[in-house]
Amino acid sequence: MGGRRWTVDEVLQLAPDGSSAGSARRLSLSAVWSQAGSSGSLLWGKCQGSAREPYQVTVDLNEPSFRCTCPSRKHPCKHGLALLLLWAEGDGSVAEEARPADFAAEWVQRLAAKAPGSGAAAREATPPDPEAQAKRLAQRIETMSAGIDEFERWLFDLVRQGVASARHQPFAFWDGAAARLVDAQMPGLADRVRAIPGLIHAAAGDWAERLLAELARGYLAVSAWRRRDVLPDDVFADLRVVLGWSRRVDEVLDRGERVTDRWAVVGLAREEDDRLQSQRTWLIGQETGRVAVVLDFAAAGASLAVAEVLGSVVEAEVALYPGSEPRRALFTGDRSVVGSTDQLPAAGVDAALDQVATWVAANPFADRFPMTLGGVIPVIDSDRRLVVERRPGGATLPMSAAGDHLSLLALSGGEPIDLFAEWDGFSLNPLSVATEGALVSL
Amino acid sequence: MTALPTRPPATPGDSTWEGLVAAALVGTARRPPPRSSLLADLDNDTGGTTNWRSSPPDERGEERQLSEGAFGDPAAALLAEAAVLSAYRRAGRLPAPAPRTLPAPAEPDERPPCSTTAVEVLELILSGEVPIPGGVTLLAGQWLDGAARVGCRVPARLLPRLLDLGSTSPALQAALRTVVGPRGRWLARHHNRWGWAAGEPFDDLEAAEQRFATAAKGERPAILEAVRRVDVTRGRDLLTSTWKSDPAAERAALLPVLAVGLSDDDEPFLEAALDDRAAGVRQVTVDLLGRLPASRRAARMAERLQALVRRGDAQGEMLSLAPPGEPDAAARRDGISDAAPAGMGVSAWRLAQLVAGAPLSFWTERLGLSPAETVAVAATVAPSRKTGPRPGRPAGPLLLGLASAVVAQAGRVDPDWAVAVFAHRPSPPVLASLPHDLAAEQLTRLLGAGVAPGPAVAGLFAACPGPWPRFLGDAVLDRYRRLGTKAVLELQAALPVLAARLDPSALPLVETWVLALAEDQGLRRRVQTLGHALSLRAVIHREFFS
Repeated sequence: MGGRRWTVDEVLQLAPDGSSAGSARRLSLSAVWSQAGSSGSLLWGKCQGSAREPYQVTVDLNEPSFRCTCPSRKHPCKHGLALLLLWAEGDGSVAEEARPADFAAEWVQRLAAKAPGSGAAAREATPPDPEAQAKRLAQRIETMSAGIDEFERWLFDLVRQGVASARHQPFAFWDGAAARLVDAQMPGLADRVRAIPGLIHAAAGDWAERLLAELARGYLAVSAWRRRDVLPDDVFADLRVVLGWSRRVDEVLDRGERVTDRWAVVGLAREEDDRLQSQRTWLIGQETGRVAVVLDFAAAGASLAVAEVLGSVVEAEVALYPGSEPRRALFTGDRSVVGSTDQLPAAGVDAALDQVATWVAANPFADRFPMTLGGVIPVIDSDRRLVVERRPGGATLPMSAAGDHLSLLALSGGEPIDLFAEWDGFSLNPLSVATEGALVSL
Repeated sequence: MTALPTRPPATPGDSTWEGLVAAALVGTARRPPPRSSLLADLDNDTGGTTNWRSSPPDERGEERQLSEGAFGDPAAALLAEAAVLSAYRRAGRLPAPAPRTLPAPAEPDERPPCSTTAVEVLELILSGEVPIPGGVTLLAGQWLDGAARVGCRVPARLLPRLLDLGSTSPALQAALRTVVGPRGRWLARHHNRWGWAAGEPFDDLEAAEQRFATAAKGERPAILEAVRRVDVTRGRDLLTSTWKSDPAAERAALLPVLAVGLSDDDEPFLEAALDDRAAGVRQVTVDLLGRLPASRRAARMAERLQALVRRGDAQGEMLSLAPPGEPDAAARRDGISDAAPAGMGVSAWRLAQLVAGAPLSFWTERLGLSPAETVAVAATVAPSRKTGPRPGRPAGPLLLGLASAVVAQAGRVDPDWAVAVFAHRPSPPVLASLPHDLAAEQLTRLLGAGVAPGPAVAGLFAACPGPWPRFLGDAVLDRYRRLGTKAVLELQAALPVLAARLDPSALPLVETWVLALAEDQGLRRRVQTLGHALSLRAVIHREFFS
């Protein structure tokens, strides 16, 4: 993102509220700025505000992240936005320079030390001290191990006292446990715990099974963590995903397996809760046949990366995250749309479930699998939501209660269709349908 | 349709798994988990493909030990067992067999697909991203009319949005029933808010006739109207077929449908309906008969009027009027009421009703007055018991009655009547009663004479049917350009009408108008939405109407 100059609109979208946007516009006059410059993805400048000393403002375009010495509690503050605007206007008042100003460089280094994942800012800073790095890693593992021990005790207590009572626990019970997992730097596990009450309510008759399966998966993570030293790399990578120990983007770019292909964009899923938006872009390589998923995240209310267009074929290289198939991927550089497809490499239900079995065997933590089903009829009435194979001896899979089932029906008209869906082990979440010469999103 | 099992079919390890769930439910403190050697079995059976295989031998030994009951805590044993078994079950899940019978698919839709451009415009309209005066409904309605006319098929993915639109905008339902086609009707059966679209369109008269007697109350007027539109006689016969047994409220709901294709053939039935027991039915009957100047009721009204009106002979007066007396039973049967509108005496109101109910030919044939002369006199005359006829009241009963007669008898009398009344008293209903081209001319003339801005003008715009000829559009836009920001008084109501009826070729004039509004940004933005609407309509027009 650092290479392209932003538009004014893009900048203003970052404003926390209307008054910030207005103030920023007024401040984006070069007269109030001194020492404004840019280098790579970094912008900096000094803005004369109401204080005696000008505020020191630094922006890293990659996140984007902001720092300003002003006392405002808004984030980003009007000075950060104004600097971005000044730069976006591109009239040369933010000069290209070889080295960042001292206060900007200093901030970048501190940022890199605090959060190793913060993209280019970290990479462009001086290489981190290996000794300090090892120390931080040891600290993290210690924190996580302590969290794992506590999580195990929590699981045991639940199972000892019986999950029948867990059903009636308030949200706060689960949120509390999740908060402790976040403190122990395992946000992935925390998310799953936080999702349990929803799972209990959504699953009607089999809530106890679903709950036990979820708790057991948590315990599997506990056991695997204790054996992390002997786990194969792929399994450990899968474990890290469950725990929420994220990979740095540069680590994936540096060391991940690279695959170049013409990737068909076959499914787009978007989710949003009160904290986070996430987006999954499912890709199928037309040459290699490999399936990969690109994940994007953004804070609630912020703008997500623009997804690829469903049905487009994108020629690009991706770097794959470590772990089992199907793997998370990252576009490494330029990508160009080279065509479009209205086809899904659709399989039968049996073949799709066989594939799932293979994936589960490799990664028992996984709970979301891509499926392309060919020639299935969606059947939706008052008491059932199914996709049905129309052939002798055909099979049936249930669909999740959520989702745009009416659009699915509209696209099928009761006739067989090819569809792409995510399978969570219990039900299908249809994402797209091949119809009328295009892939159509649901 | 066969019922499906709600649980997934048997999956490996079912009984052990159920034991684990049962123990987890009540708690291992109360019920120890079932002891099984599953972990060991699994390790032996499939060890070659599990990840544990890659562990060093001593680690695998530890694993086996765990599974053999070395867990100090039954909770740990249960969770370990459940962890393996739930993954095992997820991997080994078998699908349920297909149900033996499936719901019938939608009938095929043989219509050609709508053009790409047409679909793009529809999506743009439905998205609501382009602000348009009058909202989505206005342009969607024009698009749907066009698609229904051309007979093209919309992409299936848009059907849910179109059906939603019809649920919130009933005015679009008629066009939508055609446009959504068999797939849309099939889909509508799956959602109770879309019930209006689920039935077959009533193009099969016999099927509609058969349904009429037993159809739901709300649906019967629609069925009757559909039949009446195709065949007026069959429509009337259908109405009379259940008339005697229909309750009063039902009769009052069905009778207005006779307005569709109303003719003198309906007069005998309506004449009889004047004796209906229900006041509501009689009210509708009086209204319908008022539209038939050749009816017996109209003739009776003319006789009553004849007794009161005389061609004037002295002092240049063209007309002399006597106040009507107390209505007799026959007049009451014909609907003469004493419920005068506010500000009008009972006697004046009775006169107004007589004038409204008599054929307009009364004035030309019996009195030898032209429409213009009649209206000119009527405009100056008001009856009063004390002073007799005297000039000066702006909306006396004669003019009021003539205006009502002009509106009711529209299409059956010389349009000069409406022109004459409109010249004296420009009102939306009178304008609407004129043939399209004459209405546009009259409105243009009025605008040319200068009209103060206000909501009343927007009411006149709304009454002038579209599409507007260019000379009217030019006159309207010219006036707005001259009014400048003063137009704000009436634009709220006028913009949706302009958006719907201006010829799309008026776009450059609208743009000039926008430029002239530089000093008022709010107004300027609102007028710009008119430009959006015209651009989209130009595309709709090109796709469907040229």
